Amino acid sequence: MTMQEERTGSSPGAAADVRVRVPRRQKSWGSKVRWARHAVQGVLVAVVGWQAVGYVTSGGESAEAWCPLGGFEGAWTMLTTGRTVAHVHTSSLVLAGTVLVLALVGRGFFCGWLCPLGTLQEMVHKAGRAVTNRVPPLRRLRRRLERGAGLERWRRIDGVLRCGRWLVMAWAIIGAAVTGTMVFRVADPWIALLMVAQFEISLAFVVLVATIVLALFIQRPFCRYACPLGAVQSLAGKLSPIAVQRDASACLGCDLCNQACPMAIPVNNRTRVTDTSCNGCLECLAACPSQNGLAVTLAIPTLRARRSAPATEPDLQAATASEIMR
Amino acid sequence: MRSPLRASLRDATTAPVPELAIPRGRRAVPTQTRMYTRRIPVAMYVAALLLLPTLMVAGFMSAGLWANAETSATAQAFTPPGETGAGAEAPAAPADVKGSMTVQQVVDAFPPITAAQILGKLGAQLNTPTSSQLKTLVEKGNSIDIPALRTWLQEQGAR
Repeated sequence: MTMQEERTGSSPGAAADVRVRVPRRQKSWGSKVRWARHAVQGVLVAVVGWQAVGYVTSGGESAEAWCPLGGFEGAWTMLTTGRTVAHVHTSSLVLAGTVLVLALVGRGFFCGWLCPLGTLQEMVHKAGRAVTNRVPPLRRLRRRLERGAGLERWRRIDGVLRCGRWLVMAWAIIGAAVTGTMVFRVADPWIALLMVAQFEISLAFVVLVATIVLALFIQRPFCRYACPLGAVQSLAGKLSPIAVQRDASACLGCDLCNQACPMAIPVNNRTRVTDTSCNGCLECLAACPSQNGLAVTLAIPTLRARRSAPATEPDLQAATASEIMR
Repeated sequence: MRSPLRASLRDATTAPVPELAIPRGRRAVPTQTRMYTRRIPVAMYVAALLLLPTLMVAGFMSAGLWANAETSATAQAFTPPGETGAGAEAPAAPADVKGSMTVQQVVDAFPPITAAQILGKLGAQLNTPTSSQLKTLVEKGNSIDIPALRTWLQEQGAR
């Protein structure tokens, strides 16, 4: 940990004449968090890929059974009739329960760390950035889109499109309960990905291609706008006492957390990141240069208001200044 | 990109004023919540959340409640006897037919119906082994799904 004198006047809204000593994190800390996440994602992709290839080549265990969404879709039929819906295995039900428990503790941790479809979108996005950085017209297009993403109109469109998750969730779960079949399966990009070796052009395949194309320009488009599993976890995650918390007195207002968030959550406008779209990837934490700026915290409601951490008088001034924008 | 509100606020606050002035209509919100908060080390948080699903899945596996293939015993505690996978009892009614059952099981259960009829209905080749599972044929055949097969079996039984 290194102590550096920071001029908080560079942060939006902070007074120019207030100087605060902000302990900084070592740069390698963020890299460790990222590498840990990528390692876990890699292992999961390898396991599921191995299952998928084995299923295609020798008709072994179905990788489809590793999808927790099937458990949520088949839960109602299971509870009411005692039968499983077609394509739903008990493993899906077990995984659905596991994901639910995971969401109650770690919100969208499954999406950010474990979901192979999310990993694929991240990989495509990173590849897209690498390609567009080398091709000037594409680079200009991407920058134009990124600039546009900050405009109010685009924010509204983004906000409206994000409601799609709830609609897809309702369609998938209620539809499965009513019809007794997995209605979302026809449009599920995960199924299309598992069946990609069969080169079958279907609605699911179109959704998969659209997801991949959009992922070149937008981070995790399916997660943002259409993932029913993410929506289910968001609902359960609302009950979670654990979240990323920002200490305004230690925030430098550098916006690095905002830029790092794949779900475009304005982290530096939050006291606690309890957004339903948070996928728990901890990229904001990894990007934060301040030692105490962001932290994972367990929050228990109390009757009395209290500060989360002691702060000095200049800290309080800086906190007030940087929090005014809320 | 900063919003105009932020820009104006930044201009206001970067002015050389002796004291911090809060613009009218704004309120200062320090980090203060009605929560007792306790920091969790990130390594511990991640390790716990990785361990949790691993232990849960391992627990269900050891309890015999994990089945992700037709070939596994499908020891589904939830499912009534006779509805389990390959090697299970024949379905009593068309509604009991499941994707994990073989063509032979369905043929045995509904005598007037032949394997050729089922294979044709599922879009499979006629020389396909009758030990093939319906689910596999449905996925490969791209013809009808299991609910449609159940309906067809019901129609055949009604005739």
